Amino acid sequence: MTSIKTNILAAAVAGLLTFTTGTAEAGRGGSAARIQNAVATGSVDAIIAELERAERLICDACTPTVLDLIDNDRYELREAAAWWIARRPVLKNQLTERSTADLAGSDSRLARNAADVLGTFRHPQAVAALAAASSRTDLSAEARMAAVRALGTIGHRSANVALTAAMADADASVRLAAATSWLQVRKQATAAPLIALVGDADATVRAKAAGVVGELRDSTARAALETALAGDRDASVRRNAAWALGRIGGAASRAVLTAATADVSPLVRQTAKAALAGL
Amino acid sequence: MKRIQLSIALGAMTFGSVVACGGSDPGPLDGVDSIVFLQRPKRNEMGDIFQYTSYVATGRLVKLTPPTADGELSEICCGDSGPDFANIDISGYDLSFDAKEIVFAGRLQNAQAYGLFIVTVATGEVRQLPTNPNRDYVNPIFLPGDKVFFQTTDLDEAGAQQFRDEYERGTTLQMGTINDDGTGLKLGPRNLSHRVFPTLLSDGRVMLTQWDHLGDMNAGHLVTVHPDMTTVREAFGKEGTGITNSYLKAHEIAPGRVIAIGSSRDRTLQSGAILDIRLGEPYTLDGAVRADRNMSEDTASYRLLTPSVPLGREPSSMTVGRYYDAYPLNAKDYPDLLVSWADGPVESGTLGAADLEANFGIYVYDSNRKTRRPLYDDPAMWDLFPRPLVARDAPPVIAPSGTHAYDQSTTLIGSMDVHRSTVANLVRGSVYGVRVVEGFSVEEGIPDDFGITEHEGAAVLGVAPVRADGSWLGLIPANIPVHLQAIDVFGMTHDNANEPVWFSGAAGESRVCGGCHESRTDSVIIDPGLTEAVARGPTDLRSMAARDQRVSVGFNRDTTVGVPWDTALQNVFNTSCVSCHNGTPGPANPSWTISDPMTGASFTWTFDLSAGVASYGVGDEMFSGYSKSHLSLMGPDMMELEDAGLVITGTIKIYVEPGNARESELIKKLNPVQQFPTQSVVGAGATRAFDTAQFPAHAVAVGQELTADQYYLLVLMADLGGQFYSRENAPGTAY
Repeated sequence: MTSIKTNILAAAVAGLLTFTTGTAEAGRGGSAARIQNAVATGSVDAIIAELERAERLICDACTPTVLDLIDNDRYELREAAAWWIARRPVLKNQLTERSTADLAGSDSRLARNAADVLGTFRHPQAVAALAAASSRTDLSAEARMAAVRALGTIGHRSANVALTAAMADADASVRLAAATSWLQVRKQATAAPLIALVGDADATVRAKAAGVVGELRDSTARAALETALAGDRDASVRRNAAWALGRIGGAASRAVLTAATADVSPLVRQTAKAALAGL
Repeated sequence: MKRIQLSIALGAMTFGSVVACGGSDPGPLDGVDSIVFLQRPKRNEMGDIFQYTSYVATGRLVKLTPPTADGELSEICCGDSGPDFANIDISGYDLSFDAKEIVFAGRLQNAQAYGLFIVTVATGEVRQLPTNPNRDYVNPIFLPGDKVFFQTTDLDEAGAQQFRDEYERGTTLQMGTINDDGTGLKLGPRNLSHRVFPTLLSDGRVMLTQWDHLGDMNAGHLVTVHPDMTTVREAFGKEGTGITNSYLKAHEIAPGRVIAIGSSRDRTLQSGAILDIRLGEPYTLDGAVRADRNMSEDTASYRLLTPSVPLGREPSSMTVGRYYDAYPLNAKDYPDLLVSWADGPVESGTLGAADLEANFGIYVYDSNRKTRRPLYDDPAMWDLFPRPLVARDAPPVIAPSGTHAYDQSTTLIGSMDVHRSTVANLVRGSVYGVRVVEGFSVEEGIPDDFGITEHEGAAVLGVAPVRADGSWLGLIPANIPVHLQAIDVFGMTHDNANEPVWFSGAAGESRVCGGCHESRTDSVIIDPGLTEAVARGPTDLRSMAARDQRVSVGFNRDTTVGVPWDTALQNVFNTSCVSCHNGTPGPANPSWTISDPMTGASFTWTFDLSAGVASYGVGDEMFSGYSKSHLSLMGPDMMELEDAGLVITGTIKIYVEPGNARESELIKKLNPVQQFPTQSVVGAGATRAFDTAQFPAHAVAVGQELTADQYYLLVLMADLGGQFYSRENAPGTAY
C-alpha cells in the first residue's frame, strides 16, 4: 500500500515536472523556474543539472536562489552555485569581496562557504586569503579544511607554503586535505613535506601520504615507506606504501617488498608482487 | 527473498506490463545455470552519464541460480573477503572469457578512490590490481591476452593535471590497460572530456562512449578503439545517424550490431531507452541479424526497442520507466535481452521531490512483444548489469598498431588526400595546409571559463602544408587532444573544415586518414602508391615541446600558439582601432539596448574596442564581456537573450563567429592579406581574401593598415573560437 502511495506521489510530481521542465539540449534551455523547481526537489543531481543548463542565461530571478545555494550543506551544491556565479562578473566581484571578508571573519560556516567560492573561482589572487584562513585555529576544522581544499582547486604553486603548514594541523581532515591538495598543484615536483605524514596518527592520512609520495616518485621517502610497509597496522597504508615503493623503484626495497608478498591482506600481497616485478 | 518476489508479482498486477513471474519455462535463458549481477545500495545521484565517483556502502556481486524468479541468490563478492571489504561499493564489472573470474571496480572506503579487483567466482578469493591509489580506476573489461581495459583519472604527464571539463567540472576519465597479474599498466592517449562504459567486440576492438565536447558539440557518441588504445574511430551518434544526445553501455549482439542505452546526458541516472544499433548494412546469417558489412557512420542505423521510454531527460511514466542496461541473449531481429529496469519517473529531480529512489531490478525483456519477465528485485538495492554466467569465445588478439619511423615519443598524423571530404567542399588546390590545434581546459589555471563562447583552451601546434597530391603529414606530441582545420592561403578555415571533435594518438602511433572526413565506405586510391607528404617527410608541429613550452614566443604568423586577447589582440586594437572605435555613439560605434519587460531594467552597450573590463546584462544579472573589445566583437549570447525574454533595441551585431573566421563580419570588413606560403605585402597592393569591390579593406581605407601578422592574429582568434584566455594569459602565470 505504501508502495502504491509513493508511486502515485512520484507520478504526480513527474507530471508537474514534465510540464515545467520538458526536454532540452545539453547546455541550453535553463530558466529560473527550472532552477527553483530543482531546488525544491532537494535532488543535488537535478539542481546541478539545471545550473549547468542555465550557464549563460540572463536571469535576474535566478540569482537569489543560486546565492542561497552558496550556504548549502552539500559541497557539490556550493561548488556548482559558485561556478554559475563565476560567469556573472558583477555578482562574481561582489561575492569575491564578500568571501574574502568572510574568510577573515569569525564565523566558521561563512568562512567555509567563502573558501569554497574562492576555490571555485580559481583565481590565484585568493591564495593569500585562503592560506591565512587555513592556519587559523579559531576557525572550525571544516573551515580550515575547505580553505586547504580551495588551495588545491586553484592549484597554484604559491599555495605550497600554506599546504605544508596545514600538514601539521591538529585535525586529520585538514591534514588529509593538505596531502590531497598537494598533488593538485601544477608542476609539483617534490613530496618532501608529505614524508612525515606517512607516519601520521591517522590511517587515512598515512595512506594518502604514501600514495602522494609514490605518485611524485620522491625517493627520499623510501625509508618511511619501507617502515610503513613492514609495520603499519592498516592494510591500506601498507598497500599504498608497496605501490609507492614500486613506483619509486630501487633494488634496496626488494627485501621489504618480498616480505610483503606474504602479508595477511590480499590488498598488500598483490601490490607487493607487482611492485617487485617492476623493480 | 519470498517477500521480494511477492512484491514483483504485485507490481506486475498493478502496472500490467509484466507478463510472467517465474515458472518452468526459462525461455531465452534456456541452458543458462546462473546469471550474475551487481547490487548497489539505492541512491538518487549519478544522474550524469559521466559520473563515476558515487559511493554508498555496501555493494556486492551476486549470482542467481537458476535464473528464474524462484532462483537462489548467492554472493560472489565481497561479504566473506575480510574487514578490508566490509564497506566496499562496486560500480561495474566484467566476466572473464571462461566465466571463472570477474574483474570489478570497487571503492573500499569513502576516503579512497575506485580501484580494480579480480575475484574468482568459485572461491570468492579476491585480489586487487595495483593501481594508483590517488586516482579512480573504473569500468574494467577483460581483453584477450590476459589483459584488462579500464578507465581512469590517472595520467602520466609529470606536473600536469588531468583534464577537467569546464562545464561538467568532473576530472575526466581516460583509458588504460593492465595485465591481469597487475603488471604492465599503460595509459592511453587522452580525450579532452570523459570516456566511459567500454565493451569488447567480437573482432577484438573495444567500443566505448566518448564525450565529444567542442564548441556547440556536447554529446556522448560511440567510438571504437584497438586494445592497444590506438586507432580510435567514430562508430555511432554523429553525422545525423543518432536519435538522442548520448549512447552508453553498448554490448555487441552480433558482429556489427550492438545494444545500447540512449538517453540524455544528465538527470536520468545513466538509464534510458534500449537501442538496437546496426553499424553497417544488416543481413541475416544462420538466424542471426548482423551488420558488419560496409560499416560506417553513413550506413549505420538504429531500431528503438523500447518506444515508450523517453530519449530525453523528462520523467518516464509509470509502467514505462527506464533501463539501466541491457545484455543480449540472442541475435534475433527482435532480440531477447537481460535488462536492469526501474519503473516510474526515473529522473533525479522527480525522485528527489518525492523522496524516492529508482528501484532497478532484473528482468528478461522480449523486444518483439515489448514485455518484461521479472527475475529478481531487491527493493533496497539497485540490481544492475545482469548477464549469464557462461563462458564465451575470446575475440582474436589484435596486434599492436605499427609504429611510425620518427621519434617514438611523438604521434604521426596526416591525410592521404585532404580534398576527399564528405563535410566540406575542398576544391583541389584551395587548401594550403592543415592547422593542428591542441585543446586543454581549466585545469591549466584558467579561472573556470575561457570566454563568452563554448570553445575551450586552444594552442596552435603549427600548420602542415598540403602537398600537390593533397597529402599532408605532421608530427605532434603524443597523448594530447587535437583538432584539425583545413586552411587556405589566408590562414582561414574552409567552410565546415574546422573539425568539431578532438582526437589524440599514442606515442609512436601513426594516424593517417584517407582525407578530411572522407567517405567511410570508399577506398582512397593514391597514385603512384606513395604520397608526396610521405616522400617529403612530416612537418614538425611542436612534437618535442613540453606543455609549458607550447606557448607563444611572439605574436607573428609562425610563433603564435595561443591568442591571449588582452596581451596580443588588444595591442592591435589600441594601435589601429580605438581612435575611432571608442564607445562614443555614432556611425563608427553602434549601440544596442536590452531591457527586461518585467522589471523595466535596461542596459545599453556601444561598440568600443578599448581595453578594460566590460559586462552586459540587466539588473544584477551582468555577464562578463572580459573586456570592452571582447564584448564588442564577440557580442552577447543571442540565444540566451531570447531564452531570457529580453527585448532588444537596435541591432546586436556579432562581429566574430566563433570557429569561423571566413564568415565573421570583422574579418570580411578587414579583408585579410595572404599568409601562406609567404605573407603578402600590406596596403593597396596586398593580395586579399575577399573581393575588394565588395569588401574594401577597412584598415587601409581609414589609414590604419595592419601588419600581415596582425591580420593573422585576428583570423586565428576567430577560427579558434574567440576565447579571451589562453595559456599565455592565465592568471598567475600558470606555467
